[in-house]
Amino acid sequence: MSTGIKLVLMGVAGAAVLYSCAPGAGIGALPYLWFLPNPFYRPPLVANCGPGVPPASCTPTQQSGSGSATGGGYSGRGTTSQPSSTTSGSQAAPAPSQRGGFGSTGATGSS
Amino acid sequence: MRREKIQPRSGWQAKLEKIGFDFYVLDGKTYWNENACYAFSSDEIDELEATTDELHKLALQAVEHIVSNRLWARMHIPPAWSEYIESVWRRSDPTIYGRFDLAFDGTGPPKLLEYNADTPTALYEAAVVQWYWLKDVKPDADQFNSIHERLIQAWRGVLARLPPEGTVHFARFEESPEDLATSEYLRDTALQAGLAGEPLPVSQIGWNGSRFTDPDEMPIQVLSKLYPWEWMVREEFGVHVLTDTTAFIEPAWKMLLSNKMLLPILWEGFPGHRNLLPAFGTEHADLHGSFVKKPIFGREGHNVTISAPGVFDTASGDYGSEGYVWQAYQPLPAFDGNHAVVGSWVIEGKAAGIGMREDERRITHNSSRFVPHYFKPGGSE
Repeated sequence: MSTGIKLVLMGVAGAAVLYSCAPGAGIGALPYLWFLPNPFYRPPLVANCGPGVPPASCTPTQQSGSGSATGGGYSGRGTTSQPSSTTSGSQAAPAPSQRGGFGSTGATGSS
Repeated sequence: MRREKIQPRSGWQAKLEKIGFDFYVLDGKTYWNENACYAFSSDEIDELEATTDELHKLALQAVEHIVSNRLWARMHIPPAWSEYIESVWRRSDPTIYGRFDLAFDGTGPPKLLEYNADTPTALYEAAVVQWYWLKDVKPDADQFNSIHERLIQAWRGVLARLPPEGTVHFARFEESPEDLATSEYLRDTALQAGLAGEPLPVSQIGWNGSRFTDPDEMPIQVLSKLYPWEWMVREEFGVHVLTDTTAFIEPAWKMLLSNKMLLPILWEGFPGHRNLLPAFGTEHADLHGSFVKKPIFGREGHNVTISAPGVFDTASGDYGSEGYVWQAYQPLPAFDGNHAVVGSWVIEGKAAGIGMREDERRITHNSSRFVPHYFKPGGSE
């Protein structure tokens, strides 16, 4: 049975185990963690996709921000862009990590 | 509000060390000072609490204004980050904490000096150390301090949004005692909330081509980082944040609040507000030659200059390349030569307590002394 067929039969969780057991996969006891996405990631909501509205015509809703930041003293509010489409976690076999890409600016982060 | 001279507890150093607070001396000078304390009336505490809630509300409106009007250039944020910041703002990624620095003398309204909304420190001192002091020294008094309970509650909210296997990594500079204490205390409150929390030096954050990883090559799902966003944005791994495969606490929209350009934006949106000081992106006539010049991305008082009739002070540093803001000079109250600033904590968007810092200088910096406080319940003194 090919790996591709195995993947279809086993699903995502099974695929994680399959790849984690492959030689050189480099991940250990908890391979399923590789398939956990950013837990706070949300795809854009779709609002006006009522009956008869073709999917291509659907527009994402205007989501509110992190607080009740409505009203207030600002005028001339611009049009917001929609949240970008982002990946929800790669399923590629992991490679050894590079390190040191953060921490070069200062020696304390306090304020 | 007043400053009281008091006798320190017998064996106070041992008492502090017993609760894991071992940096009561910083840079060879006293950092924790219990030769004095600050006393407030309950009315004053109410005022500080209401002001903190009000200022946080204004700050959120300012974020919405910045995002909606795409003021990235004004905030000195690279355009490539705009969609990501907007995304995490719109989807309400969780926020744990922040700290307003306020000028308050107990008579007029508290005035906002700045919002340390991204990497605030002096958290353990405010939440735990001064609470133990209160129980020992003023057991019949109260303290504006629900920071500890509120932190645990905030982490429970994060826990509820994680899968059962979810882990939060806590990145910090471990050579900095203040950073280490703040991050470890945060991790402790997360553990008490039921989360799994792993410590991680900032330099050991890895990138494997698709995910941020810890030293065991495990993916970092949620990263509580005591490392400023404005630095992360410009460092080698910054671009990988935009893949949105790791969640960050504090979220990236907090970089709009820790940015000093927030101050003029608030003043434009809410001119004359009783808790705001006039602030501008240039030296403005409305300041009448009495101002504090702050670097847009400054930290811990570095590169701050106070210039007012008969007053001048300036602090050295490496900040200011992105420019400055000018804020009206509001003198800090001085008690026996100690200039006192109120650090007012915001946990999960609500006021949660205060920590007092003081210094001989008018510019508060990282080793300015922490002084405990108390108040007597029951109205004005």
